[in-house]
Amino acid sequence: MTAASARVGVDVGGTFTDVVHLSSTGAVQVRKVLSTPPDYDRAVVASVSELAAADCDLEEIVHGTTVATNAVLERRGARTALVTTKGFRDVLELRRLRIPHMYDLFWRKPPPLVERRLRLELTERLAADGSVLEQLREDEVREVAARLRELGVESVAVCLLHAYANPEHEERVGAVLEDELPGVSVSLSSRILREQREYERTATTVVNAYVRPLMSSYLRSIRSGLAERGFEAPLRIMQSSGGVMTAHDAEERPVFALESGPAAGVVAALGIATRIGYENVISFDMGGTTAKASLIERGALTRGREYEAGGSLSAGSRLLRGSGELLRIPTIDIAEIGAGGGSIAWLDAAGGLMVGPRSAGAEPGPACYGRGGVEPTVTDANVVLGYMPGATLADGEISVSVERAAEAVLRVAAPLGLSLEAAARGIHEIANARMTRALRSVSSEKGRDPRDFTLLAYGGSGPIHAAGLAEELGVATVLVPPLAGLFSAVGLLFARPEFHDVRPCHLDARSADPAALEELYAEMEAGLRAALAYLPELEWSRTAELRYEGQSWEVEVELPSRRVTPEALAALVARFEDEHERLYGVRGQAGSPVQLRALRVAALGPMPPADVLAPADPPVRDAERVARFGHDALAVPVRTRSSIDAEPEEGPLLVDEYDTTVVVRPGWTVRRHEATSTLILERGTRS
Amino acid sequence: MSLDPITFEVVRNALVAATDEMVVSLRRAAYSTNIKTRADFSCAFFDADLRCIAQGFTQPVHLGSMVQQVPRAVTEYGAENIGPGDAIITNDPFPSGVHLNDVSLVSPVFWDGELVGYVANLAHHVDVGGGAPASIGAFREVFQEGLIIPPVKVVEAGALVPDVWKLVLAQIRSKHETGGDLRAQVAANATGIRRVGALLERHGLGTVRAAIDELLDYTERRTRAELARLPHGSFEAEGYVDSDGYSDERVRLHARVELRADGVRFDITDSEPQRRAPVNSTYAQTYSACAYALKCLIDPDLPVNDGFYRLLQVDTRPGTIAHAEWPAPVVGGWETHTRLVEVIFRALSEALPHGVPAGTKGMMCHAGFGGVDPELGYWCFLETFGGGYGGRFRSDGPDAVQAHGQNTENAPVEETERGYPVLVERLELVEDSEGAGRYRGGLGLRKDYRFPRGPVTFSVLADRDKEGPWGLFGGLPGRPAEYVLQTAEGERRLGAKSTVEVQAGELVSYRTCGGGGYGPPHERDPELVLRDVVDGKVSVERARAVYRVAVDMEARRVDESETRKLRAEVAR
Repeated sequence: MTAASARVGVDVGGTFTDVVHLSSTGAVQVRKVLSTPPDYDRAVVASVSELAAADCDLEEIVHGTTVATNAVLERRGARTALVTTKGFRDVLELRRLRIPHMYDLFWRKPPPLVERRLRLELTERLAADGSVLEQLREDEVREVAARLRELGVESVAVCLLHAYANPEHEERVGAVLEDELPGVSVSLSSRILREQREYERTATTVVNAYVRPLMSSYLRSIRSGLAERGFEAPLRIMQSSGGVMTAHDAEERPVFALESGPAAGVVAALGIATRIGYENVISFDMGGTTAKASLIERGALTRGREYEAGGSLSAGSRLLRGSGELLRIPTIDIAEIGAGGGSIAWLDAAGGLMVGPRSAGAEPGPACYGRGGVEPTVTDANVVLGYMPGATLADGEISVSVERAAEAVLRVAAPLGLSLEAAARGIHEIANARMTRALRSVSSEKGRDPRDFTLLAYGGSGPIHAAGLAEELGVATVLVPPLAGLFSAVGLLFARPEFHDVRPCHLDARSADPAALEELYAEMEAGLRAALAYLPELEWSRTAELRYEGQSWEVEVELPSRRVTPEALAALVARFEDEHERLYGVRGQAGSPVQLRALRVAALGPMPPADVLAPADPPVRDAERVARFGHDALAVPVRTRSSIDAEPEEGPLLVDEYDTTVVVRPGWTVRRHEATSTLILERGTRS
Repeated sequence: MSLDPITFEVVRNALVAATDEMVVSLRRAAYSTNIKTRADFSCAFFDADLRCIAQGFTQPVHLGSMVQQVPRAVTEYGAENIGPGDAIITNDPFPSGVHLNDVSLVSPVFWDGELVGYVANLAHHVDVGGGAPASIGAFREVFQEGLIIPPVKVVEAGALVPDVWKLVLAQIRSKHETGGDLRAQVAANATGIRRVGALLERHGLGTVRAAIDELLDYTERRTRAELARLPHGSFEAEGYVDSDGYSDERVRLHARVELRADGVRFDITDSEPQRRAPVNSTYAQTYSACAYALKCLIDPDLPVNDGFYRLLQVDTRPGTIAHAEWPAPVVGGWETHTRLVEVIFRALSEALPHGVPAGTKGMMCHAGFGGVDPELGYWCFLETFGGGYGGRFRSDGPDAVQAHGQNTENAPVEETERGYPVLVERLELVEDSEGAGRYRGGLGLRKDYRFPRGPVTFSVLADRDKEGPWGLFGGLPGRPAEYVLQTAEGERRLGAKSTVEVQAGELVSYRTCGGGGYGPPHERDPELVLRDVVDGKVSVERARAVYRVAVDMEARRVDESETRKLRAEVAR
């Protein structure tokens, strides 16, 4: 057998680590294993080396991880200090002054990631144009370094006022700190986010510094672990924007990789929905601990420039801000809520049945897994309802016990005086109600009618709940892609390498020198080209941010031609004015001064081959299973994906898969889109 | 017409989303820092009967006042005189507006030739002319405060009315910014009209009207359910604005709150007569204070619309500081409004000891300044500052935040310095300013502005520089605010309502008040006191004297035996 080449996607979640191995021959292998917190790298190394055959030339490993996000949420990051300009050490804590919940008299400000005692000042000062008002004193930087050593910090964020305009002071501070504090990582705001606005830049740099040591040692462990087993393939990391970056880059700027796993799923959702011909889609990802939703409208992802980690309901583009850690990074707008298969059902003080947000996670996991969990989870309820088989799943990694599930659910059923099945139904429906919130926040709360959209469901529990949620929202069609349970890992193989660079500027757009702009663009491109030498071909995009003089929110416009010429510049201004009018309904008075505020370059790597073939069906153990819908217990046929064809079949049906089950509820039909092997569930007229 | 629950959900959210999109549009297209960055504006949708249906997420203070102002403006101008593509502009405080800086723009929404309702936005302009840059200052009558615009048409059939436009801009210092901001207001209404239009296109007028009726009824039902679980009865308190800018005689406010299951009545009639000084609130501002306070007592997720306002009654006496009459100056009305919110919470503190905070910042705390610059022409800048929040049952008051209906964001230092000839030298918490308590109040905020190019006319329009926010149940008051001018001769205090000429190189420093404490300070957890000491928020001396906690700074530990001794002294 000649050596085939292969690519591997690995997605680490709070509960499971999913691996998809795609050979150049088109063969797909998958592996789902329990995550191994706190050393998440162990499961990654073990599962990748298990799948990647020795005779196979591994091209790349693309990785998505929530390790950085979890560190922020659980406040397990490095002991981090902030070095800033004298008079401004409280910028981080002052946030944006406003209280995010307007009528809440009991709002608590989240404690800053860097306590006040660890925020140190330097007497230096730049003016807004980058000129030096007060020189940086190196001896003072050394004093600060000594203080930081005493304080035992592991990571330092440096954010000086106006460093976006002139990074020189920050660079010098960085050099001295690295010299004085070996082993301590230093993050400079001008390298992380070269943008005006001190709070946003400081907060983003602080998160970077906070997760950097952890992320760095995590990525190194993966690399060395794989190297020991003979795998030298380059490791690439998914960014929250949906593009991938090198592991080396991720070690320096991990903040761009926060929430990287979920972004991959949405990218893949877009890819597969477009392929089948759906352009208005809500992606719905239900995993072990959270459910996430994102809106795809007219074939495009919903993107954002800001993100809050740890907000109460994270929904990036909403106007409500200030409840989590602010990050100004390019993201895909994903709403998230703490309800997943592992969410624990419990009784509150008044005897009300509640579900989540506490999760059984990987340890101990749902009770039915028999790993020591006793509290009932959503997954246990789904087993009792017959939606999931009592069997071994994922090549034996998970074994599901119906008895254990029932025992756990009885713990809440008994005090409520409910039957086992009624309590399970209650848990399932409460979880649905909570998840509808995430789905609503990306659709109806933005004035989009969910009935105009198709739901694309994935994640270990997504296909179980999707049709029920669709009924609640009035959605008529549900898509379940192949490998739905490991879809985020699949998405990693869909993602394009994507890199950005930006140069802030303050120029009059009508009179700027095209040659000078061309030079700036060329300089950025040369830098990216050097960093991306490993990619055979790159696609470039040049954009510029413009605004009317006096405004402070820019509009990003694509440069109308590849090179900056006087004509291209004039066309750029015209495009900006059109776009401004399209977005905000007005344009400036004729001839209003227009400013060029930043030049941006994006380098996109080659689009990976997107056809993921479905793996072989797992064996089906039962011909039928008793499942409960409403008050009915029905004997429902159990099928495999490949046994469904292009002709719609009526539900109820259960399609058992590698690690999940597609539940086709009564009143729904199911058919298979052959080219992508996606199941299409459609609600009949008599629902 | 009966509505399915999904359509109801979609339509009601789409109406709010339309006003939210107006917010985004106005903010992005605006020119002045006060609007584009600090978000000092609000947007709303009213139906053809002038009932408030949906409000965009921004400034609670405006929401209650727009409910008064928009219907009056339309009625005064005559709905029959407003056609498709028109817009009415107004900032007239009398009889139902707010202060002159807040300029409202109202546009009708027509569908198939039929009037469906109005979209409206209100924005705080950085300058509307008058006696000082940024149009704030201690004036004697409204005419000194700037340009008064009764409801007039500023857009007609989609085109600006040039005569009105020119007349308005001629009165204003910062013409470039204000011209841009007014255009942004026009754009916001255009966005709102488009969004409501798209909704009508999708669902039809009948369905949307049915959803609106159901929304108001639904809101009323839920509000009633919330009112039912509040303690019922009549509660009252009084409180004072510290000074009026001309005399040191404090200004009395009184509130009686009648909580009933079927509605809430606020009786503010017993407040003192209006003054020829910047302490008068208009009726709309007083109404807004009461609406805000009530909203805080019930489920915060309840929508705000006519179904809520129906259950609210606000009684005032014309000619008082809670209901100023022409030609009283009203620029400081928001300061009084915010203090009234405080008085209302104080009135409720006995009945709802776990439901309201101790004394909070309780002022808007404006700074307005500007001057003529060779490069920029006449420039103006306006900002308001955060302060300490009051301690609450089981939690400290947050440090340095906006409070009580004031929801403006920070003015970023980097943006300010790029746009205006000013240097910010400090932006930090004020150590030891918190009202001590078992749950302490928040710290105040310090911000120092240096004017390297000068001269600049600087106005302080604030309060709380004599008495700090009160403590509750044994908590101590927060430290009062200070407004300071630093010149070559040294520092001197500025009045809380004053205007001063600042020369090149001089500095103005705001140090806002801390919030009041909740419960006795010597009952505070010593570990929390230690945390504040190590973080430099509370001094070692103050920890010992006020909280009765001895901190060993070397070891960064609480000296427990010494602390026990100190606390035993208090008990005796």
